Amino acid sequence: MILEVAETVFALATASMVVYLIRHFVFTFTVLRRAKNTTKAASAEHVAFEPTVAILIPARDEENVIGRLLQRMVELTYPKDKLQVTVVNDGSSDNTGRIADEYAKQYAFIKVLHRDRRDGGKGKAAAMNAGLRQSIGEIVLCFDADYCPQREIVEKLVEGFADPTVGAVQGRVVVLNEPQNTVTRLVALERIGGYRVDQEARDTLSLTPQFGGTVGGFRRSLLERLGGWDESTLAEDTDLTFRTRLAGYKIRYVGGAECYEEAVDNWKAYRKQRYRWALGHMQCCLRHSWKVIKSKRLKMKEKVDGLLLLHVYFMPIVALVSFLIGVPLVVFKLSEFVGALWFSVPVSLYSFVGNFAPFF
Amino acid sequence: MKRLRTVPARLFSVLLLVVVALCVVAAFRFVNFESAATLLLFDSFFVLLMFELKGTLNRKLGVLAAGNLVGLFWNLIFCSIAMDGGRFFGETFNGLFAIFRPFLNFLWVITFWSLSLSAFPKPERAQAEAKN
Repeated sequence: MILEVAETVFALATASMVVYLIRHFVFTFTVLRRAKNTTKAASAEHVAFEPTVAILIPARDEENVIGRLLQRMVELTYPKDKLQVTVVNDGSSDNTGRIADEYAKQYAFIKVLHRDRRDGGKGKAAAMNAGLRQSIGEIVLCFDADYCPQREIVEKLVEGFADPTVGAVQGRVVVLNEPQNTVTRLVALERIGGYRVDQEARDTLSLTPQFGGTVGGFRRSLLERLGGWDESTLAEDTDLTFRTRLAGYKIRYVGGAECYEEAVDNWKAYRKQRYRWALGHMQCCLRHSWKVIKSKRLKMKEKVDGLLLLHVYFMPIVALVSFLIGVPLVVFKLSEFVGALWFSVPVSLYSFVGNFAPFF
Repeated sequence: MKRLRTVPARLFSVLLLVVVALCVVAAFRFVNFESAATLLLFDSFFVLLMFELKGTLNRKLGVLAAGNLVGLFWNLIFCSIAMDGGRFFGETFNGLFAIFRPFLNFLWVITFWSLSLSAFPKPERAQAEAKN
């Protein structure tokens, strides 16, 4: 009886890893085919679409980087009369607010919203909601304070909103300090895999590219209808992704809209960041899985991909379970069935290593 | 993929395909079923994914054939280690080897796969990024 249960659990765990392997293969193959076809095809036609845009920059103790980002905001090529940049100084204890104020004095399109230590510091979602209430613009874009976008990024991002069924867009994050050390190289690899394979494949296959919380934006009408960012979850970006899609709006990925970031450069920060993402992602999984299954707006392939995305952070646990059950069964030759399937474990493990990345 | 216009180029392609096929047959005949299955899996993924990249067909087939040769010898060596290790160390070695063999087997696949990417021309975009 115990042996049969162990065999079944092992088979289920291995099968779920194989499903992720197949998904990786489909995504990679799709992107490679797309790359081949787009080089042959003529470049996409440019759509003249210039709505009013609000850019939100939540910042807490970012005095080292906020000046660089605001300077880049000044250099954006999007018409300044249609642009409003709102820095949300979220209870900073350093000079972030002062630097932002200096820019606001010089440039009329830059505003600063100061949140004192009592109101501020309640997370990024709360800061974004405060910024949303104060800002104006049909499209709401957001950038983290330590990012540095391309000068023409706004044009590239808002172009997607010309289609009224598009509720959100997501640009691409490129790691700037990739050669620094092993951690930054690892993060860069994650970003490349996540954006240039998964996000691009999802967009090509008409699935749901994930909004990553920065370098992207929403239609204001949709955000207001959804009630803004959810302040109770740790992964407000994933939560908003699913709420947007479940509300019937599309999310587009714009690979050409690049934003450069300084990635975390030590294991402690890396582990802390990933832990927070994993926890938030699991919250979203519990909150949205059933809604995704029940939704009448989503196609079957979107439901499958959505569920795989929601459950991705459970996969390390599944892999560990399959390994712990499989090892004694293989060593003591208790199960021929597991012995035969053991071969598939490294294949699946290798394929799903990328699942640790946020977008896989 | 550039078209192979000359007869020698076509003949070379056939030769490389024969090498690939022989490696799979040799793995099945002289090593074990698992080795042949690994090579077949490697070949399938390589053809479906790497062949989408830029580069001549012969270059791709050449890398594929080289991968099969590396895989065949890797498996032969590991099979020999398994037999000798089993005789020398007994059941403990066999147990450990049974656990780690699939993982060790995939070391050559992953390494060769990564190295083979350098055999193909870089996309224009990557070249432009590198210049900047």
